[in-house]
Amino acid sequence: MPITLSLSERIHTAARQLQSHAEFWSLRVVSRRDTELGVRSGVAEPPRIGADTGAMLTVVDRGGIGYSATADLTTTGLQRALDRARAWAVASAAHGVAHFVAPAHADEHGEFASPNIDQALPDARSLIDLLMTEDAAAARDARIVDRSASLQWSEVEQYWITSHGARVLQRHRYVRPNLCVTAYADGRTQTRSLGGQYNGYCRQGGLEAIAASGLVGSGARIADEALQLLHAPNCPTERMDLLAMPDQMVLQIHESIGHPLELDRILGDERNFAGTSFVTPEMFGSYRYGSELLNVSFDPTRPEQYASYAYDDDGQPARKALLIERGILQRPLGSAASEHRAAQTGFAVEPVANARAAGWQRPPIDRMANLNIEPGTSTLDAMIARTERGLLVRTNVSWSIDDMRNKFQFGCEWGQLIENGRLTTVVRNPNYRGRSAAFWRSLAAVGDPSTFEVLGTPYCGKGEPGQTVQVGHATPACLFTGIDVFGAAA
Amino acid sequence: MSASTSHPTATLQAHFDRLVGALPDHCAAGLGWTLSLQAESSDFVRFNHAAIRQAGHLDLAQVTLRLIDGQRHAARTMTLTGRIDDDLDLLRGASAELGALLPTLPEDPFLQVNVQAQTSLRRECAVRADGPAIARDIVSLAHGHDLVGLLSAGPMLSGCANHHGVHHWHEVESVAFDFSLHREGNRAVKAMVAGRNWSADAFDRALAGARQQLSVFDRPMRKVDPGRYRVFLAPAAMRSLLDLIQWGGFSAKEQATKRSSLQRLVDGQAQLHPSFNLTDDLATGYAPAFDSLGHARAMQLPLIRQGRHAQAIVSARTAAEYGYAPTGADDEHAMALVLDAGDLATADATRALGDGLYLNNLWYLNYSDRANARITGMTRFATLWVENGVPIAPCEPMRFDASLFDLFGAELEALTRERELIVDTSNYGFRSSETVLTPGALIAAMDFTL
Repeated sequence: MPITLSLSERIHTAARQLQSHAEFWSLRVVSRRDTELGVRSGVAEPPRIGADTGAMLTVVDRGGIGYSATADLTTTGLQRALDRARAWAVASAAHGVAHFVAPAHADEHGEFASPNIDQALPDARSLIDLLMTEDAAAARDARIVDRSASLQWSEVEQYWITSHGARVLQRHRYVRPNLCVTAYADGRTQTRSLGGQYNGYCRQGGLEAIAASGLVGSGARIADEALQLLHAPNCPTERMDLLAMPDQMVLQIHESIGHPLELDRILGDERNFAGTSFVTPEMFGSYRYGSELLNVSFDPTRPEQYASYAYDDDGQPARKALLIERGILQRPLGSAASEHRAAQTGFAVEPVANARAAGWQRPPIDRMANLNIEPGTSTLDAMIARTERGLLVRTNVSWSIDDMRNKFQFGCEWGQLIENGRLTTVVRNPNYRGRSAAFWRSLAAVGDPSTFEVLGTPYCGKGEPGQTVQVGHATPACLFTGIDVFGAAA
Repeated sequence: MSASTSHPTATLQAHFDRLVGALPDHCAAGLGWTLSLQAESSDFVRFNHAAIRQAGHLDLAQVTLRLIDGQRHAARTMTLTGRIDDDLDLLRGASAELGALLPTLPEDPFLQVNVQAQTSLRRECAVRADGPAIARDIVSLAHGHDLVGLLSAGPMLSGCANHHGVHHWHEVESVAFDFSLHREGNRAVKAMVAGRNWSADAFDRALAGARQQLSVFDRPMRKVDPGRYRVFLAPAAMRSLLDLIQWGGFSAKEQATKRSSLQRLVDGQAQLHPSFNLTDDLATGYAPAFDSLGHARAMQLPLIRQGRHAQAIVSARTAAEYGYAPTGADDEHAMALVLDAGDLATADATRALGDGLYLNNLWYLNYSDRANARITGMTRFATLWVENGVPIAPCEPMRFDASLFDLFGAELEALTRERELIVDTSNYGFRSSETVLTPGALIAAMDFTL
């Protein structure tokens, strides 16, 4: 159920009755409602609705930290979870990886709301009819063997209370439209999608977010592009310039800037699973991560972007910060808790507000939120015109990188050769590989605001236990020189 | 749902049955329903530098109510509070919401309801794991090592019932510690202990084995140039390749729409090695034998026989759409993959390899060319350069790009006699109950690109 005023009062009342001798505790209540509508090849799929409410109690005591998550929001249920969290904090204090302290912003008061959050969306049947229209528009040819149009949205309310008097209420609506078409002929299959098969056009907001995605009117175009790819030649194997459009830049930023800069990864927390980083503490302030054209920001302030918020899940106020400025690495993606741990090892950094949890069931860890490349000054036409031999790529379909975030390989749905300053042949199965450090230093041009798109992914995975969070990546098109590209087997 | 030390899960089954019993009163006359449950009561302890990084507990139970009116249906998932009156209220509200929604929906021609009153009960609970005690064991035994890992412990439960009398219940206690030992410079080895109960002795043995394996990093790292090499894939590496095929490879719907990575196999245009026999065999693992709609899963489903496509995994929905026989898996995903063993003794693997690479683990696999089952990924943890059958040096991570049709086809020289049961410790939502039982594999040629 959503956190209505009466529920927030219930939570507040229950919190006042909690008893604990712990130095610090926090109560993070998350209530979400998810709706999924879809149409596949002319048939409406059964709607799925999810309602999930629960609380995470976190305790810091005697240098230890512990948590307990429960869906029982009565005073009794919360007290039981609080006691369990404290037991874990005490049990871990003598064996902790660091001496933990209460969050620096343990008494914040504030609110946040997605744009147009109170605007009602159309009823389910109207939205199914919209999806049906786009799905039908994609049924243009007998070679179209599968098509689907979907709309998902999540309404999330999060209430953060602490023993030190914090009261933070944040309300979000996350919207995820998608359309995907598969064409098949003569043993060859090609799939084309709207912004990627993993919901690249994800934003906060309401109807305007659906409109901005271009879902309406996309069915025919996406189908035509799938058919075009079906008969396109294979991407050549060659070293050439690469012009990556925003819906591929999303994954490039995500894998080879975002994850390597997570401070908890640099501190070694993820070495058993998600990996570590080629970035070391000494690099901050001096390491040339990319060319002079590269400016990367942690920006939670763009209202419509997928991971915007006013406070992170440890109550730290969220502000924009440059992580890479004119190509020089400035600061990590590190929360206040990680900053405190780093300081204990002699490594001083400024935190950003990126302590985030996947929901009430998980504790916060260092995450990306909105990680953006700031626009440059090159128009798309200018970037094409300056390229003698290159490849324009759109829409990520495959991503892989090593555990230190260096050797990567990406695949895209759509490629188009650039020859002597002009777009020429469409090619299928474009892939490219490289190493993060060298790649970003080969950044030769950054698109201007006319090429800038606000995208993201709902599916950033990390952590033990695993956590999937939504992230935003707003980016212009970018041109890189001397990249190894290749296609399919035949 | 908080666990007690007596029989924690009996209370949840009773709770579920109370909800099931209330449904006929909640639902309007003539409506059908399915109620499925997934739950866990888990201790999670995360370690770094052999110390506790984050430790805590999660009680989570969710039910999904599907209401059916003729060919119209919709589903609503709810998180249970554990208080029966509150949860009955949640169920009542869900019934009302879905009941109001159904008349507005189009009919679904592919709706398949399980009308057979199948029932099953599998309860494999052991003594409830003591998370704090296990954490103390780990800290004590791993003292002095740079150990990183995750302990996941506690029961995992699932259930399903419908208006035709279907009633399934499955619960299993599971303790898994997935860990790695590290030296400077990202030199590390990976190991796991998993089972129904915790055994400090078993962990100590696994730790000793990992320590012994870690000693290979006493030797200088070797940089191996891109190229084609003979390779031995240890069971954990094999598991990574089999997991990637699970991205729609076995799905009947993906095969019908020509998107499966095994499409050439399905269409008879490619063949794997005749020794390659792959089955989804639920008897070998921890997974429930029913899907979330109450269909009984096929206990043994041969997927690939003697290198040829045998059977897809077919949901009731896909069965209705394409006229297939369903196999009782609404997600069209294998839960307990089993690859037949071969004749090569694991102890002879490096000698049989001769000159090449011994890959203990792979990482971050993805398709570079799905239609040709071409996969890219990285080596990770202990990758060894072998000369004349003797491990010589550890290797820096390398990227490979190779087709499964080659690796498990013409390039497959041998599979080992011994197999390893690997428990899936992923837990992005609920903790996984998947397993893979696989041998290692000797591969004549594999391409490394970076």
